[in-house]
Amino acid sequence: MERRRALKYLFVITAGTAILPSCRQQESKSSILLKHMKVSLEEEKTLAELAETIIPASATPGAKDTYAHLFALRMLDDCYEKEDQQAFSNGLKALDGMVKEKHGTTFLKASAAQRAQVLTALEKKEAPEEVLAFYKLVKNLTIQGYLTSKPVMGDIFHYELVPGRYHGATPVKTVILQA
Amino acid sequence: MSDTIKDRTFDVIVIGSGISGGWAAKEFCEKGLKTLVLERGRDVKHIQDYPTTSKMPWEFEHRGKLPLEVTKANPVVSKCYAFGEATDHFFVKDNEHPYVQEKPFDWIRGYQVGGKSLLWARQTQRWSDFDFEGPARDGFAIDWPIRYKDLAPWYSHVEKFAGIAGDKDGIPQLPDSDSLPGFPLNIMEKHFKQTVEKAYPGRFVISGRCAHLSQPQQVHFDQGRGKCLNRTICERGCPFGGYFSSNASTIPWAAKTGNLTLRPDSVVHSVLYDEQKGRASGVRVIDNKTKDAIDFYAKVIFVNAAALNTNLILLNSKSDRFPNGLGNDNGLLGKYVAFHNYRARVSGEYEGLSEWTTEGRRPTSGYIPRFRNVAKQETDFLRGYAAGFGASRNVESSKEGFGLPLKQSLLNPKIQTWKVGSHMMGETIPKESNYVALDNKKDDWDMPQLKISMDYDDNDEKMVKDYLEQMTQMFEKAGFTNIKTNDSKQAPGLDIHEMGGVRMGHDPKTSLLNKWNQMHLCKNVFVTDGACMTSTATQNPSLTYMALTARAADFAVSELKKGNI
Repeated sequence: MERRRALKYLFVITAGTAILPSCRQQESKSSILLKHMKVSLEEEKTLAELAETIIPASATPGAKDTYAHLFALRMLDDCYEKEDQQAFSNGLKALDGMVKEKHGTTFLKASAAQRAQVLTALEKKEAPEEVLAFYKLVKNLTIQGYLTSKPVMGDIFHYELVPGRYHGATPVKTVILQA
Repeated sequence: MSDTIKDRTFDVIVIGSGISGGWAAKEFCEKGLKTLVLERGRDVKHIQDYPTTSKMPWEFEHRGKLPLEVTKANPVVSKCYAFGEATDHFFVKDNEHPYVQEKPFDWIRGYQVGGKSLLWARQTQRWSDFDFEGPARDGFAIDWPIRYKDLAPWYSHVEKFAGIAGDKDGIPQLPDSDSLPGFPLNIMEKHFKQTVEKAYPGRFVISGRCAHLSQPQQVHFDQGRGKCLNRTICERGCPFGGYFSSNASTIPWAAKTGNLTLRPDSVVHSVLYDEQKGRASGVRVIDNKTKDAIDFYAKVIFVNAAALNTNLILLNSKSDRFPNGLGNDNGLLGKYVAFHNYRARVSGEYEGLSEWTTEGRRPTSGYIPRFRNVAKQETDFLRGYAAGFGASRNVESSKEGFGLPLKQSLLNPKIQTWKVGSHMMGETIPKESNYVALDNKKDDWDMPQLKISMDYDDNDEKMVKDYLEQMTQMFEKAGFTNIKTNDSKQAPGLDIHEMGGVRMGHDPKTSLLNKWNQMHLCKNVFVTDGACMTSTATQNPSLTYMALTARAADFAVSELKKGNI
């Protein structure tokens, strides 16, 4: 019995030590593999909620449904200069600093109403410069990722890879662009 | 595998599988000649080697943009409008194939079977005698040894097979093509056409003729090609063969005859010269993968490596008889290279016709044939420019605010006012001071790197100024507003219309090729790509290369039959 218990503990300890570091690592890294930037899962979640506040889900998909926040990360990591990546990281921290000051919490833990208040301030440019630059960058990438995603560009706007036609004079009133 | 000289002997060797090499292959194979096509790059098979052709926009990780690592490592090719996430596999990367820019020159290349015919802008306007007679009339370069009547039947020959969409416009300086129905100008472009043609006799706005199957004929179905379905993502390769490329058309056509041997990964080192016989005996190749030298032999050699690389190969073809490059007794090989001046643009808006828009997509746009100095000299610069013209309405939404109001706006975009734009395509004057030459530096295949030295001159500056003035006036007459002019000052090269260096002419003292694109001093070597051009005119040149190639191949076959070569 003693031996069995000892073995059991041993198993728990080894398993635990084997699992723990990888758990911690998983928690500290973003869900997509990045080459240049270090983004924690916590930061990724914050970015996702920010993107979702910019374009929320309703009857139609929101930013998170289209992975627009991950598109933003991918673009920043691959197609932007180091300074822009740094400005992103600094801006994300500064955003939480701003939220903490006003609402005593982080953007991730803030309520929907608090998040809306933060974005209202950002739209009015009532925020530190580095947060405003960060917001502009994230908003543009979120919109780009959203509008060029399959759920939006494909399923809502019915993008045609093969139009098979060109009409040089179409009455505007017959063109339906709405979702 | 046996490797005897016999196995490496053919009737014809064609160097290059791009737009002109493909035509040489087709013509020779159809006429029953065993033809070896050497291509320095990898094979690209129609459809199966177009990896991005059917990808949706959202399937590109960066939505078409290339990672910074790629663009920073390749500053030259990154300037090309067509180089992007969907197409980068068809472009030469700067660091893989270095060259020496004595003066800035953005050299855009496509090393693969099909070459740049996969990537071209597919505009196909015929030349007229106003172009062929230009050098003689205006006293620059040398007289062309041919006139329009020499090439007209060959224009028809290649147009019918390639499939050219275009209207019958009846414009003297831009003869009509043997064409399929043209793609229409849109209502806005028609408004501009009416304004310009009324206010300026002799100026025309037409639909740019292009190598697209607007209404395929039996000869196109026989090639396995179908109707152009207006995707306008042509540079990825077209699964329908809707536009003309070597890959979709001439190469498989040549292969079907059983007379074609296509050898990719074959970097041509030089054309071999037989001192005894006084003619070329074959071609030396460096295998792209093994780096081994292999010689191939043939009775006739067509050099179609793309303008500047054709110069490189001939300059590197040194023998006791020709120490300065094949056929180069006069020292002019590599000189008098020229290009098209694509520096200037004009844009504007139009508030009218607001109840109309366009629908679908179109693989061409408006075209304004050269109107300056056509019948006689009338400005303080020589020659003139053609121009592109296009009008469209963007669909955009406000990006103000956040949350549901922003979303509502994004999902309900509005048709914006008409935007109009034009770009110039200027003729440049070939000069001895614009040249290419061999550099002392070598590349990975132990070939000398090409040194390029080309620049604009005062004539080009005056032409840019005139284009910007004239187009602004024409825009104003049409009621356009917010007119903006731009001179990008871009280096030569991005036009991808480099020409000359092995020019045609009457006299062996002043030219390298005769009126049949045949080397004056080495009768079984022909050059029918852009290198043969005596002057540049303003038209997109590929159609003329195709016609010259088919004509020269026909001549070469008749000379072979007569035992002259």
